[in-house]
Formats: sequence, structure tokens, C-alpha cells
Amino acid sequence: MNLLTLALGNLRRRPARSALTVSAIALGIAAVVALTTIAWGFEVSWQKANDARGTDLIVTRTGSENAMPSPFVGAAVLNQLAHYPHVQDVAGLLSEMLTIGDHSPPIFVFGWAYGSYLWDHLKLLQGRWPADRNEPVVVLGVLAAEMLHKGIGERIELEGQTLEIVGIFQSSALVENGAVLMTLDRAQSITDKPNKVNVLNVKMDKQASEADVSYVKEQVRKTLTGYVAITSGELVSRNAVVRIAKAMSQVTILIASLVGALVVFNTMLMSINERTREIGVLQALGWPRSRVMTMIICESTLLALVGGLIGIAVGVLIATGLEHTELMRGKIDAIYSAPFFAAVLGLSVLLGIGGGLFPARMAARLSPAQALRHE
Amino acid sequence: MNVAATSAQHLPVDATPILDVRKVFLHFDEGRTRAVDGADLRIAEGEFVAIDGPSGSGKSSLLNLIGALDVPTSGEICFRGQPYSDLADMALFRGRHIGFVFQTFHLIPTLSAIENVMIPALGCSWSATEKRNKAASLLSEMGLAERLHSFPATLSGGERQRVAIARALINDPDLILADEPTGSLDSVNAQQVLELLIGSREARRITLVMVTHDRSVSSRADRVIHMRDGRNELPGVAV
Amino acid sequence: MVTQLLAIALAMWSLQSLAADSRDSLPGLLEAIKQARHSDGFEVRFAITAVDAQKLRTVPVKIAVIGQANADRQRFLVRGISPDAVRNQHFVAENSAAGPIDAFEYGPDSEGHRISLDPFARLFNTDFVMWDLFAVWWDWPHQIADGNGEVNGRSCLRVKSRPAVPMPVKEVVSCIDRETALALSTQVYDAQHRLRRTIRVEKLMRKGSSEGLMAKKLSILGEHGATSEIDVYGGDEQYRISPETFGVLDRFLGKAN
Repeated sequence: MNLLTLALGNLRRRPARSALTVSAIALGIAAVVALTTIAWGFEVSWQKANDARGTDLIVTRTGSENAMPSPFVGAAVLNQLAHYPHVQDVAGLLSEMLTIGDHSPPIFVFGWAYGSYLWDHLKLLQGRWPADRNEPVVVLGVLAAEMLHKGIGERIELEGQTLEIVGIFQSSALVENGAVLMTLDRAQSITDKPNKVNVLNVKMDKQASEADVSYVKEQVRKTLTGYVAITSGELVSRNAVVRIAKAMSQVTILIASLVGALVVFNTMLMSINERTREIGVLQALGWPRSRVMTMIICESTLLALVGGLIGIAVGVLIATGLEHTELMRGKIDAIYSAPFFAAVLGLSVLLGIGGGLFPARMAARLSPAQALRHE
Repeated sequence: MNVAATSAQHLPVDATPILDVRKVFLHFDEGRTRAVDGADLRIAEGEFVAIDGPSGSGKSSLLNLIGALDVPTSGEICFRGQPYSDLADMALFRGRHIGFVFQTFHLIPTLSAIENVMIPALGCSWSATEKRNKAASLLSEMGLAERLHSFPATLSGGERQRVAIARALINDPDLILADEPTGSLDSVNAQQVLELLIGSREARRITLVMVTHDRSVSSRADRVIHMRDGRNELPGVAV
Repeated sequence: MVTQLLAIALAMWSLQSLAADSRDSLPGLLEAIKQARHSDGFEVRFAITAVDAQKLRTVPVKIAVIGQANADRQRFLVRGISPDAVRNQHFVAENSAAGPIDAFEYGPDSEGHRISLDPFARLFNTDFVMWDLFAVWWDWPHQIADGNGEVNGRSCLRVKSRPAVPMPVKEVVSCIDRETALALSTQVYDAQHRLRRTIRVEKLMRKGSSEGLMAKKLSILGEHGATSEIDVYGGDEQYRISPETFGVLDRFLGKAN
């Protein structure tokens, strides 16, 4: 018999109350897990896409905070970039969110420079790649093919143009698996953006160091007015949608923490009120204040921990469910990692300690004689 | 029985009393309620002292002060010559030296009999096995060898009080304070519990201070201290 | 010396105040609205879903609007993208400095004819009206500020615009967001002062150039309980107007002249 078993026994005394408290915490933690997973997951999937492509730097127009950076004529900028030291290759791309046909939810459509390194990391599962830069064809990511229920030889309508599906590919990046891919020229044609890109991808050579990458960033800042070179992580994290999603997730963390702590606080306060005489007995039997406090905080932490574990499970279910909805499929890569879960559990523990601290101090401060007289 | 004649005359004159209560007052509500109003007495080591008096006379309040459960408004209580006001940790002191037996038992309902007995020993340095063995042994002594794992709700009043006595003894206290220990029991159980308390006290040479209304209980004591209006009627015995 | 310094300070403060207050005055706001509409070239793509009085939704119609506007001239090209029924239908129109609007309709083969840009003519069976693109009411002589309003939680200034001479549109009532010089709502009344349509901005988004806000979602409440929902899904704020873009229009105008 120890403090832990004692704390557990005390929680089991009021199963309904304990269950309600655990549920409240679980809901809050579930919201935190789901929102954070989605917010960070969107960022991660884009990051992975660029890492998979082998892109070291992305050059876009400054102030591009929307989902897709605003388009610009790529040629002049591309030529300048190509001459910087250690720059091995520069490839332009156009990315859009478009609906296919009449009723599908928006899907990523990428136009990549024909023959560029951007295509190298993809694995062709069926069919073939576009034969030339102007061919009116598309290749679908494996997830996109599933979502659109389309296969090789079938046609899709994009912005009034009919395009034949000639291939299905797989990528290590989820966002690419959920996308429609064509040549840059074709993408420029269907979106009526001749010679335009919204991103220039810069690949550095194998000898390039961090300092060389920083040099290119600095050179772009100094010599290409109106443009910025950033890593893919920086681009995505600047994006307004990602920032809003992250802000929402942070606000949720704050609210869930406050509510969780309050719920625990309320539960422990009620519990101590009911057990005033019992606490007096424990003190009479020689329990120091510190042990009384430890017992109370043990109870509150157990509640929060169980709530946290259930909340994580529910949050993962919600995020996984959302990942598979039509709207979100292929767009987010939910991040589940041991450090993340440990952090969430840590938050639960903090909630438990925080919510139980004041009631614990109240309990410990009771005069034994007063407590024993309590009705 | 003459109260004065029940004083512990057998103790040497120069022996330090285990308890020395010196003009102790306990007032509440800014003096409007005077629970203890100038109690002054001494209790010798190993004595069995009964405290009686009418309801509201301050018996339980005095017991609480002796048990360091309350702090006197003025006056001093000393344990083997050491004032309570000098003690750094009252809870530690209680745990080491005092065992309590309450009228309404005050067992923890979610713990079994043996676990209830082990409660005061939770912070001790003994091993879990040692604690368990000692608790089991005490419960056997109380005649509860078959009820070690029973919960209070399944025990009778007499059995619960026996568990409480075992609990009071687990830390080998010097002093047992019992507040109406037979008050909630029928006469048969009350007799059994009283015998167990007195027997344990004699076997272990523990000082026993008991608040009681029951003349048949107080007649078993070495000395009776009679309380009225917050003070003891006769002066404490000078030892 | 002190007097001179004070005078300079006063002048600087006045200039600053004037600049800050320009949108607080109606003429200043109207000027800001017109300036905000100027562009060397833009393209906007939106999907319009018509919802009838029985809440039945049509297949979304995607159209592209290409425009160019300055103080002297405005011209717009509307092109149907999908579905098949509207694909490559074009409507093109131009007006010069508050003059009449010349409008033409043509198909994929660039053959077409002149049309009258009716302020109540709906395009593609939706409540989208091309006449609205020109926002000619900002050049009308009678502009009256009519108190504050609110659209989707954003406060705005109500402005009533009336033409100099009787015309099919008797009045246009707009609610202008002072900060962005955007009309958050526009109500068009006919000659009998019947409300014919209300255009509301339902959602705003930041422009790609980060120079302010533009509409992301709009609704047009038409007659008989029908509405059209407009979702802006793409475009280019710096669209390159080539000779071919308005080539057909120029050809029509050359023919007309």
C-alpha cells in the first residue's frame, strides 16, 4: 500500500465524478492533438514534398502569404539564380488548387518544368511520363487517382481543357501523392499564365555548405528586389493558412489547458470538502502536510494523465479521420511522434498538478482538530 | 472512589511527567467561546488517566491539545519536558509518540483492515514487508486474524474499533489518546475494546489518556481527572 | 524664428491630417475607390453556383474575367471555362471616361456581334451581370453618404449613387469599407426603385502582393429568391495584356467605327 494506491482508491470512491473529469480533460486534449496534428501536418507535408524533390531553397515573390505564392515571370530570375555559386539547378513550378470536372473538391495541380530534377524522385507505377513539354496530358499521384476514381487512358477536364491521364506515380511526399501533375508549359496554358511560375526551386550541388545556402539567400535579398529565398519550411510556416491553423492550435492548447486545470481544480476542491474529516484523521495519525499534499496532487495528476491518454487516442482518431475525408485527403500528413505525445502527456501532467495544487494546499493547511470536527 | 486517592502515588517524586499541562487556555471567537479555560495537570509515564465531565466541559478539546491537534491560545504543554511550542513538526511528533483512538473509529473506507493499520507507518523507513507483518500481527492480537483484507463497511463496530486500536499501536507510541472509544459500541463490544486497550497499554507500558462518560470505564483508570467549564476541578498531581 | 518654426510645424501637421482624413471625406473615399480599381492587367477566375428559390443548386460555372482599367478607359473580357455549354463563350466590353459601354459577344471562332450591356442581363444563367464590372455609378454626379452600416461584422459607410439623367438604374447603394476602399455590399435599384440585386462580399482574402484585401467569396441575391454564390479560386494580379487579349474587341470597334 502506497500513496499511489491510496490515490487510486480515492478516485474510485466517486466513479461518476472521476469519469466526468477524465472526459472533460480527454476532450480538451483530443482537440489539442487533432488541431496541432493538422496544423503541423500541413506544414510537414509541404516540407516533405520539397525535401523529396531535393530542393534546397525556394525563391518566390515577397509578401506571398496566400496558399500559393503569386505568379511571376520566371526567366530573368531563373537566369540570375543559375549563376550563383554552388547552384546546380533551378526549376520553376506553378501550383494551383483547382476543381476537376463539376463536383470534386479542390485538388493540388502542379506544373513542373519539363525535364527538370523535380521529376526525379517520383516512382512511376503505371503508364508513362509526358513525352514533351506541351503534351496535353497529366500524371496522377496514387492517392489522387483513388480520389478521382480515374485510371490510365481516361480524361479529366481542367479549366476548360481536356487532358488525358497517361501515368500514375508514387511519391514519398503525401501532398504529391494527392496531386495532379503536368508539365509547366501545360499548366501555364490552362491557367493562362504564360511564362509564369509561382516558385523557383533551387538545388545546390553536393559541395554546398550551410554557408553557401545562406550566401544565395543573402544575394537574392540584395540583388533581386521583390523576391525572397527561403527554405521550404520557412515558406510554409509563413503561409497565412498555416499560421492561422497554428495560431488556432495554440489558442486551443491555451483554452484546453485552462479548462482542464479548472475542471481538475473543481473536482479536487469538491473531493477535499467531502474528505475534510478524513484528512484530519490522516494528520492526527502523523501524516505531515507534505504527504497530504502529495496524495491530493497524486489524485489530480492521475485524473489528468488518464484523461490525457484517452484524449490522445481520440485526437489521433479524429485527425486520422480528417486525413481521409475528401477535402483533406492528400493535403495533410498528420505528424505522430513520440516526442509530440510525450509533450501532450506532459501537458496533462501539468494540468493535473496545476489543478490540484491549490486544493492540496488548502487541505494541508487544515488544522487537524478543525478537520476532525467537520461534519 | 475518591479522585484524589486515585493519583499515581507509586511514581517517584522526581520523575519527569510524560505530560505537563500548564495553565492552558483554548479560546475561540475572540474569547467568546472558552473550550479550555486554565487546565493544569501532570500525567506520569505509564499512567492510565480517565478524563470525565459533563458535555461541553472541554474534555475533547483538552485531549486535542494534549494530542497536538490544536494549538492553545495560551499556556504550555510539555512532553517529557519538551514544550510543544518548540516542536518543529507537530505531525512528525504525533506519528512518533502518539496513537489516537476515536469514538467513530475514522477508518479509511477504501482501504482494507490491514491497510488502515499501515496508514500511520507510510512514511517510516521499514520495508513494506515489515510494515505488513507488523500490521498483521497487531490485528491478530486484536482477534482479527481472519479479517485482514476486509473493508470497514463489512466490519462490525467492535471490529472497526479494534482495527483502530491496532492502527494506534503500529508506530509503538508512548501515549495513546482515546476519545470515548466505547461510546459507539454496545456493552459487550465496549467491554472487549476496553480490555484490549488496557491490556495493550500494560503490555507495552504505554501511557493511556481516555475521555469517557462511562463510570465503569473510568473506574478502571489509575486516576480520574474531572473537567468542568474548561478546567480540571482538582489540581494535577505533583510528581 | 519661433513663429516660422511654428508655421512649418502647423503646415506639416495639416498635410498629414489631410492625408489621413482623405478617406474620411466622401470625395476622398470615392477617389480611393476609383484608384483601387486601376490595374494594368488582372485576371480573376471564379466559380459561380446558382441556387434557385427551391434551393436547387446548379453545376458550378467557371469563368475568367480579364480586365484593364485606368482613369481614361476600362475594358473587360469575360470567358466561359466550364461546363461545356459555356466553354469559350466570350463577352468583351469597353468604355472610355464615363462614355457609353461598347459590348460584344463572340464564340471560339471569334465571330460575333455587338450587344447592349443591359444592367439587368444575367450571364450564363447566373446572377452575374457584366455591367457591374464597370461600376459606372462611381462617376455619377449625385453621391450621398447615408450613415454607417455593417456587412459580416465589418463596418462600412453607406453611399447612395444616382445618375444625372433617368436611366434603367435609378440608384446604386453601396457600403464601403473605409480601410480597403472595397464595396462590401452593392444594391442595384431599377427605374421603379425596385431592388433588383444585392451583391455582398462574404469573405475577404489578402492579395498575393500583400497590398490589401480582395473578395474571396461573394453572394448575389437576385430576384424571386434566387442567389448566386461566387468563389474566387484563382487568377493573376499582374496579368500581361497582350495585343491578342482584346484583339477581337479592337477589331469589332474598328468595324463599328
